[in-house]
Amino acid sequence: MRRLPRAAATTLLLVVAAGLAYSQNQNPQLATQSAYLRRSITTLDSVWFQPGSLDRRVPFEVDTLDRLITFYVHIPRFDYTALDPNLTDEFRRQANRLPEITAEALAEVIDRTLTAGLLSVLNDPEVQQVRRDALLTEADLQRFAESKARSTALTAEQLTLLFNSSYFYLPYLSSVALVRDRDENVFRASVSGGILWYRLRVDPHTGATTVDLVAAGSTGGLATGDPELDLHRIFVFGGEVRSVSPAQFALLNASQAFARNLGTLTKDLDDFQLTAQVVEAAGGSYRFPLGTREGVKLDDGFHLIELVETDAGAEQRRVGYVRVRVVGENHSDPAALSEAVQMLGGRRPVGTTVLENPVSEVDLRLRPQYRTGISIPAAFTSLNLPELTGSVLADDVTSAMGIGAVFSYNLAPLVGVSQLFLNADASASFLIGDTTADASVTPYLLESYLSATKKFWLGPVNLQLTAGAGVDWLELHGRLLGTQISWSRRKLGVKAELDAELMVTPNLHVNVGAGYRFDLLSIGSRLEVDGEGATFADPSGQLMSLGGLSLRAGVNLQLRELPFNVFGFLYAIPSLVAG
Amino acid sequence: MAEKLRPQVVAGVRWRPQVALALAAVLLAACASRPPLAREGEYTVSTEATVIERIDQSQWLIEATGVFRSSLSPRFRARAEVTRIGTKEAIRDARKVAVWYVLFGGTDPFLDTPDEREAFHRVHESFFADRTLAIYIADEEQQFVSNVLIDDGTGRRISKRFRVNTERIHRDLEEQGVTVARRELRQQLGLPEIMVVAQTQPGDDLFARLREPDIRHGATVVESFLSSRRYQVRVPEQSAMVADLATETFRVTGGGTTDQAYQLALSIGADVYITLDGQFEDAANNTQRYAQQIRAFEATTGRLLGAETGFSRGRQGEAQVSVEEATNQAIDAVLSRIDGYWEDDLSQGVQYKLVLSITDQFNPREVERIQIAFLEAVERMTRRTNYRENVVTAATLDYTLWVDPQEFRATSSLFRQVRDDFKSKLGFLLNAGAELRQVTANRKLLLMRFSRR
Repeated sequence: MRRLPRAAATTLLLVVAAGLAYSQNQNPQLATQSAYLRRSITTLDSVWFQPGSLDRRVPFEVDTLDRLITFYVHIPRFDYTALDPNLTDEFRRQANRLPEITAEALAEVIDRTLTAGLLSVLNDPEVQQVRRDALLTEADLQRFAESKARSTALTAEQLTLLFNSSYFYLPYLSSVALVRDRDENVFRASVSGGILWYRLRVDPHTGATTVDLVAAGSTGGLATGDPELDLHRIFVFGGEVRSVSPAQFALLNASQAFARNLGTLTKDLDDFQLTAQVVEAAGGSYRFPLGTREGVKLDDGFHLIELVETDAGAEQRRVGYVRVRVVGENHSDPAALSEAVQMLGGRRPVGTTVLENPVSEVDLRLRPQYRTGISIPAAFTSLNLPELTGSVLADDVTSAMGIGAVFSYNLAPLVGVSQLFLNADASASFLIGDTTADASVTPYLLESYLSATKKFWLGPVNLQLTAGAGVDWLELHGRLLGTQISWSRRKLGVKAELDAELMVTPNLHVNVGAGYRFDLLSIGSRLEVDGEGATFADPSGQLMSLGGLSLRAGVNLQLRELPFNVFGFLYAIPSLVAG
Repeated sequence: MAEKLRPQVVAGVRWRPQVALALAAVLLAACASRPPLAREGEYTVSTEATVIERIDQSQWLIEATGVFRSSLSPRFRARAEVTRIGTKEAIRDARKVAVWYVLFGGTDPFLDTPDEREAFHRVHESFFADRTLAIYIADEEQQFVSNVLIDDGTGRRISKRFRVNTERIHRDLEEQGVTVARRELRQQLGLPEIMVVAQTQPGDDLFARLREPDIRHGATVVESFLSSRRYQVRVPEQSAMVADLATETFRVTGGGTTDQAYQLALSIGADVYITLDGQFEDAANNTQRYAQQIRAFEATTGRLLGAETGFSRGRQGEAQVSVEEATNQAIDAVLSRIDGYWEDDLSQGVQYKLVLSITDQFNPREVERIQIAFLEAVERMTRRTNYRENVVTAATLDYTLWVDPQEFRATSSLFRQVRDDFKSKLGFLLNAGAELRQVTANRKLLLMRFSRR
């Protein structure tokens, strides 16, 4: 017990340290940038395979990966420039002939093979007119209106901005693997690779071009395909539902996780982070000129940034955090503003900068829990078989302790309801009770729930209401009187939870809560004795309940990358894929 | 004790209380004799501003910096105040700076004489009041150019762009008597008449150049600018007639100049003439920008009053837009110098150019008498002060003179005066058949010929 206060103090210290670290300067490079300038991006027509990265026997779907990468990387904040396939073929030929493939060597190949094509596209008057609006300042727009659109040509300064906001990205695969785990009878797939981002620079006076590597990131995706699960024989994306083999299922899900992580890496690059100035501020509510055109979605988070003049120059300091509650529809009305509500920090004036906090759509809650009110009579763990008679539990058990993990997907952009989450819960809890001397078994409970949570925020604090349904298992595996037993009992349940959460930093929240679950019915049991199936009968006149009260405290992490494709099935919804 | 009582000696002066008192009195008197003039930062915290663009005849786009520094202590209270009101106050300062710049900043400020600045100081509060600033600032960009916390968070500095209505400021300065001299002079004598032509090289046809599309458009922009400021503008449209007139004038005067614009201005009676000379040049990213050179000259002498070159932004195509943009950049500064010249010139009187051509029918003694009589007439008209001798030969007498407009309202009055003087001084010649004839007269030029019948 003496350890408990020490652990609490350590946790508190870590939480305070995290809070303080949040306010530290994040990125001096952004110190001069306070408005997002649309970027032109271009790429090859297909992902680039590093030599030897793919075994030809693996049924890898390159086309699907290309579609996934396009979906996750070609986000609305970019203007996409298509290149002539002959140029990209030439790039491939020259890149594959490189004696040593490095990011710098590839930059030279890009400059040799693709730059001319890219410039010819950017010099196209039609392309320039399309991209012109994003380059206009307030004064330009006003003059444009006053002069009845007398001047529509781009000026030299605007052309400099246009040419120097051109990027080329190269998604690559370094390895694709598919193995069959014969012990567990599943297919395991892994996709590894990364993305290289290059920036084209054009000297406005000489027209000389250079290609610089601006970022390189690597990531991966993992997935399994279980032949016994019907769900692992379909893959959904873009409103399309396909029948696939379990092996394909694993590869496609790993590909989707990989592509999604590439998207998050892209949004995390300094050059691409959305930023804008607050133009209206009132009572913790802020409005700024970003919106659907840049791909802002409901509940997106933005840091509030102040520039502070120091001896070393202007540096960026985080002074708060806001969450979007109304997205500006600036496709139709360029002057539309998004509105965000303050979560962290003190009130700030107009002119404060908002800077995107790019995170994955999925966040993870980890929370140790204490469960009480369950009822597992010892009789329910007793066997009375001809070959084996004995009991696992010495006494009735009413409580358990363990840890739960919840992956939450924010449904707000889909359903238009702020802070509404779809959760995939899983937990494991060890029963608090003694086993008999005959048993060498560790009894534990598992749960797997699908639930929905609505969060109600007040400043940095929120109250969460959760409701869900799922399955609880009582698992008994080990030896009873020297005989190997594997006993599993499943019960369907529903639950309701109430949690309170404190935002320590935008990406770290701490929470405490309580929940109650109700057993509905038993949905199956399985007993194996020495590897052979066996039947048993529950005692009459008694009930086993895996429901009851659970108390927990934990953390909520906003993830930047997640190697699994937890909520990939949501991409069956066409509107989600349409963005 | 003895050390304390010893008078201090500073640079050889025995430092006695009486000396100190006398110096203090002199200093006080010096300060009291003249109210303090506007010093940098007197009306605003910051004085950083720059003109981004002269948008049109009445609006400048100015980028101005505003600063707020909290005076509270300790530091956390100062920081809280900066968070609460720092931005608002810094924006307010930036607005003032934008107007301040128009009044005092740059190379051609509106208030460029100590008297005007002194007059402004008495009424400055009304110019920098929030309500007035809202009138002067036609528009303010929503976004900041920069927004930085300074002094460890106890201050804030912002930069923003403002469209300033310079015409309105001009008008208010006149109405409030800050630029009273100029206003009164204008009321008495009007604004100068300005001729707009193309710059030519020897051998060039001025009218052909004026028909070039870019020059023609530039001239139109200048005309529009000048008319909006209520100047009288003359463009030599009737080329043949005006050219003949100019040629004739200079044939008579024997002027050796080849400057067609000067000849034209003089012959049509403009006070000032403006020449335009522009060309496209290569700019960044394969664009072209227009460079418009505008020069202003005194019509009577051809003296350069001001020159400015304006550049458009580089763009592909849209030549007319570039010409207009470059012209707008340059004309305002040139006009400000014309205004300054006009004000100075009018303070001496109204300027005329008098040319007397003497035919070769007179002997040297007679010519000398004619020259003396003419000089005496000029001295009488200018009360012996404001005239300049340009050319004095046996055949031509060329004078520039400044006369009291109450006394001489037009060239015809001057001609009458010369004629009357000649009657009294050169009666013997007139009686012997000589006559003084007016060859050409316009607003600025009186061209006469003295000959025998």
